[in-house]
Amino acid sequence: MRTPENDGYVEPMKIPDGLEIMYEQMLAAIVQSSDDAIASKTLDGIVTSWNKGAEKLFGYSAEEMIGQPITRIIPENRLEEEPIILEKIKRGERMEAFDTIRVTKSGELLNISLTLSPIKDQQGRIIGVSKIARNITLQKKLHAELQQSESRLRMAVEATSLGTWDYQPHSNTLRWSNECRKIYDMPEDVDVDFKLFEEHIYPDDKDFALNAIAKAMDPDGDGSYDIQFRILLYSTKQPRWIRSQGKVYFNSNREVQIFIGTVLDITAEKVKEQALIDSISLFQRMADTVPVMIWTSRADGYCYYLNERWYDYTGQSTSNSLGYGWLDAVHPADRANTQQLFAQANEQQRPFNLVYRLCGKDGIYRWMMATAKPKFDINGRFEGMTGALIEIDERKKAEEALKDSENRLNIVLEDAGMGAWELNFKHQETKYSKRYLQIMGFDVNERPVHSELMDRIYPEDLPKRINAVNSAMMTGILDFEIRIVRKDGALRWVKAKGKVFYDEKGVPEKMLGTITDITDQKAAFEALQESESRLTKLADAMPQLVWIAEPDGEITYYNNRIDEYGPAGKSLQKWDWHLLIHPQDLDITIECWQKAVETQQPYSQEHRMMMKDGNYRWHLSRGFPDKDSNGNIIKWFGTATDIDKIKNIQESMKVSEERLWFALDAAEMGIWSIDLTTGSAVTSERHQEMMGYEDMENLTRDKYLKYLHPEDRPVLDALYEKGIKEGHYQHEVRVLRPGKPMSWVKVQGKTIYDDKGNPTTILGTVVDITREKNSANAIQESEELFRTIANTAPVMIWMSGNDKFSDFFNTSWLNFTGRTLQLESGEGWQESVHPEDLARCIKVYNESYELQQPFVIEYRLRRFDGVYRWIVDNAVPRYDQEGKFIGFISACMDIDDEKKFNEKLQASELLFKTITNISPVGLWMTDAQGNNNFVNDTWINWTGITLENQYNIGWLDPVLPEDREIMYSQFITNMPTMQKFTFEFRFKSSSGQLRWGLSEGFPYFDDNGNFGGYAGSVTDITERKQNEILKNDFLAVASHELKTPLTSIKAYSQLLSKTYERANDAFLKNGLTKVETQVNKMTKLVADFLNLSKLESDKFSMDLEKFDINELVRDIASDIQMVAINHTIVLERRRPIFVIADKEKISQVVTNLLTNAVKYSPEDKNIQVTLKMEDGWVRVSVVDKGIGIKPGEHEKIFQRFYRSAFNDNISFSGFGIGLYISAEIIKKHNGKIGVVSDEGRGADFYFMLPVV
Amino acid sequence: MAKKIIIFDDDPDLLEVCAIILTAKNFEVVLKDRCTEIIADVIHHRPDVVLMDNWIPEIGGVKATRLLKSHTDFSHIPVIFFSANNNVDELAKEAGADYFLQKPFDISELEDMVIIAAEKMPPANN
Repeated sequence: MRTPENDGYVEPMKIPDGLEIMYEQMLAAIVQSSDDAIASKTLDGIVTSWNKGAEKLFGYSAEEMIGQPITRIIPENRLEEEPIILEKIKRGERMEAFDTIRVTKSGELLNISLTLSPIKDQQGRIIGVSKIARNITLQKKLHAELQQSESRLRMAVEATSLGTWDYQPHSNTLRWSNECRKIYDMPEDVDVDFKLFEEHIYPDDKDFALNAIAKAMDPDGDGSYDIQFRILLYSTKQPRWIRSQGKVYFNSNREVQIFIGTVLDITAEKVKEQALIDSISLFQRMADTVPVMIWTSRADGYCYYLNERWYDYTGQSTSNSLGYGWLDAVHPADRANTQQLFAQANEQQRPFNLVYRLCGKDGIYRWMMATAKPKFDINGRFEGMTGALIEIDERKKAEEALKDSENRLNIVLEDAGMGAWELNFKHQETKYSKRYLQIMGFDVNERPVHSELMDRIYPEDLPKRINAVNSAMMTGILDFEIRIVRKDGALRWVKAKGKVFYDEKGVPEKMLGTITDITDQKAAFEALQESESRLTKLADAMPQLVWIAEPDGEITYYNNRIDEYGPAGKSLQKWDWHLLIHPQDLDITIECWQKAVETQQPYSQEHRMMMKDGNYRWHLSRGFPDKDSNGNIIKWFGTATDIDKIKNIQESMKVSEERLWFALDAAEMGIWSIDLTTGSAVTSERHQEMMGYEDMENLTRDKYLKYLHPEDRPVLDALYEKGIKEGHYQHEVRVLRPGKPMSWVKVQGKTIYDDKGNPTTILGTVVDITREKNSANAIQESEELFRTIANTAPVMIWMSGNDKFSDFFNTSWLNFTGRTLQLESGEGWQESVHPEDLARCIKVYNESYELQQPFVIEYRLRRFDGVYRWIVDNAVPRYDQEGKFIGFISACMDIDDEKKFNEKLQASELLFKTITNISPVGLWMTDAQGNNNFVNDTWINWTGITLENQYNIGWLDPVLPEDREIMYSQFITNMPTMQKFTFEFRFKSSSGQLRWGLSEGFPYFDDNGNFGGYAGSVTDITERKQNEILKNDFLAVASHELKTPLTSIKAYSQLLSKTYERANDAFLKNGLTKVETQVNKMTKLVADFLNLSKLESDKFSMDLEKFDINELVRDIASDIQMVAINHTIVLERRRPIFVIADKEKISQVVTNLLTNAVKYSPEDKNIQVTLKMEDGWVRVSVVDKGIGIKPGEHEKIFQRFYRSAFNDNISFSGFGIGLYISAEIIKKHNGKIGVVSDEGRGADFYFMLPVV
Repeated sequence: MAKKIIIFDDDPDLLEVCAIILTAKNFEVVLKDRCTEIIADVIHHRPDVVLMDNWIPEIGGVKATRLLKSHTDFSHIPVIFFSANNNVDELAKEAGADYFLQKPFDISELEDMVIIAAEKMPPANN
């Protein structure tokens, strides 16, 4: 400092003694106010200081401890620690965070952490030990509590089987909870990463899941994530359904900080859901794809469902068909009956079978087999009918509050205590405030130039100023303290502060700043430094960072602990403390500090501070204002204590808890806990929301119950009691929220017990499961409906899944095979298939499965009674919602009867057709009404009329009109008698010829003996007829021509006899008699011929009468006797025997037999005639003793034109037709004729007739 | 006055013998071997009885008898239909004849029948 009088240094200002004492007191205040126990002892272990913290902690007062050995607080078993500690201290070593146990005055053992440092005197000799003890009992207890809290929360979460996870993309770390691993079946030793997660997504769902994750992490999105997808189990690679919910948290740069979420195995729900979808679509598909029409009706008979097939077939609309509208499609003739039967079946609740015609959309009626069964609900109530018809004919960018420095200047200028200045570099001119001039020792009215001002600077300090300005040009900030010499020669300390302003090009334009007279402070400070250097020795010995700050917050002192902090190699300046604070904690710390400075209130803040090694550690920073008597702050004294250990526990706990809360929140779960001792409940907001609580403050169990469905309350009580006993608690209850629809919640909980095993608390979660519940109910209903319908449907139904195995067989199927569902499932059904058909069935099924094509197959299936029956299996592919093939559904019908009938029919028809068509006769059939329904090819070929035109009475068209009428009327008349009949008729052949046909008709009957109609034949008898006519014509002509001359001969001979009656010429008379006899014989022969002709042409008419055959025989015998004068005819006289016969023709027979006897018995002239009664028959026999007949000829002699071989030797006259005619006559009388004879022993010719 | 009879037959021998027989019974006998002109013949001879054969040229006995019987003036004249045909009874009925006689016959049968017919006696064998 230069003055005109004194060209030398000004004496440093002396710090007053009081001030020094004051600082010491202040420091002591810090020590005393510390929560930590701070003490010091001599190297002999004698306590020299004992602060309030120590008093509080150990229970001993300072008076009690100072001068006493420290071992007073050391437990007996730890006394050996003390010599070790003292040894270390003597070597100048520090002991940090030495965890041990000490004993209090009351004998309580404490967990404490000790920090021990040597105390050195001015010369650096170790004179004692400073000791800071921190009670870590609380810390440990806190740790334990937090752990417990976390584990409780975790237990609550785990009670819900909810897995939790978090993912940090920047470090690519994925963490899974144990429950999460369980869901994946992932062993604990397997490291989880995103790649592994990706590998365990079901291949089909991979794109979907990864897209959802990418979307959640999209910075422009809201970070929400809630998806359901399939995963693959780690062990078996089997797919499972999970629901994954989560939320992405972004940092201020919108980068993903962490992605937290939950995982829940929803396979069971998914299976149910799928089952519902399957079930509904299945029923629809089944109903719409089964090859039968299906309908269902209500108990009142109202039809409420008809399947697609029905509409497709009938072409009817839904509105026209439902109810009873379907009856309109039934054939009018069948309608009344159908309606009646349907109504009756409904009334009786019985199955029915009915056949009726149903009108197709093409207008054609087709016959349908309608089968229906009643449906009953679980309680056995009739629900209506189900039936089938079978035709027998598918953001905000962070705003940087950069305040313009001019604003700051204005503030400075406002400050009356400071001198303001502005230095313009371009013009080297200085502007200044009045205060500036005062500080610099000028008169306020003076206007010193820049150089004049520079002259005031104490020469030694000039370089300091130049350096500061140069530095300011670089950093923009000017801050220096120099000494000035006032005009009056006074040496003053001035503190200058400033800021550089730049032009647009970045060139320094001007500097604005302030100056403050800090002489008093400076002097005091400098005086204090000495004192501080001593006093801070203790501070340096403290285990925490100790700092001292100016009232405005500027830190002016750190103890030597500061060396442990800060960026490596950087010496910290007063305001550099902010460099130590963790960026995340900086704002709040500054805010908190500024607030403390403004309010002049003690300051306490936790923040992380950077250590030398670059790691941040948590510190508890505290500051106490030291105020003067006016209440103005003189200094701030503070400490920063390393609390990283606790903080880390807390922080990790907090993170952990937060994660769980996030997880629970993401899973839309409510949390609750009930204090079992008080009955009070604590619930999360979501829980309250779910339960609809109105009064959340005083929630108790009883109030909670009020919100539940009355039916669930007793159940809940039971479960609650059980939960307390067993430790687990789970129920599903209905919640009645005022003004909201009823909802379902799933409540899960865990009981927490105290050390003695008494339940204290129940902790749990609540999830809204209304959707699942409704879905489950819908599944049940739908499944019930499907099963009811499938099981009541009168068709056999089976289904197979995408595993190719059949897993459903309806009641109809099971009833048919008589087996259980378990037996039939999988490949069990194959046991019921006929071995010969099985290979074919499997082949068709496998091929169709590959092609996913429908198939129809007929095979034999073993019925419950062991009988194989043919069934038709009509399978169609099933698809899920996404159109994926998931197996088959099939409807099967028993077609055995039909099949066998068809087989028989086909065989029979083939045989029949073949036989009939190769038949030389025409064949025909009629129904019971006489309408023709069959003619064979033979008849068709004969008449040239097509089969179609033969039906009904068409086959009669070719019949000659006169014959047709007679024939048809006779046929119709005859039919009711159901007797055999024959007709001869003429018909026009295809060539136009008229031909004769002989038709014979026979009645036929069905299996039940009902008359079915007539079946018959037509034989072409044209040739026979023609020959017959020719023959008859010939015979007629021949007999006529023979008789004509005979007439003349007879007349003449009789005339001659008459003429010569009176003449006595015996020869003449005899000759004429012989002529006449021969003429008569001749006449007889001719008559026989004609009779024969008549006989054969069926013109033989019978003139029946009742007469005495005895008498007839007698008359004839006497006539013959008259002629056969050389023979003796012996006739027994008998009583009359009456017969009904053609008398003339019978006499012809008798005559024939007698004349033959006469003729063929030339030697023995006795002829015996007898009549005998034999069992209602009369036997007439004529016995001769003549030549007889060889046994081999007995039959032949009754044949036409046959004569015994004997005739070669002996000449007999006659044509040999007598016996033939006789035999024919007797046959017509239903009698018998025969001969008993031996050659040469005569013959016994006889005939028999029934007696009246 | 002797009764007159016309015999229609194509067999001359039979005509002759019938003539002998009936002449002996005091009948005036007219013989015809054709029957086509029966009406002319009847007009000409005015017979009391007609004896008609079946197979006789040229129209046959049945037709000839019908001609006669359909003629108002001569339907009353008794006609004896005689034939060697077996169904003489049917033919006689068909022709509308009053009597029939099966050939060959006994001359007494002829005599009796002609006498009865001549006296317009009802047929004995019908």
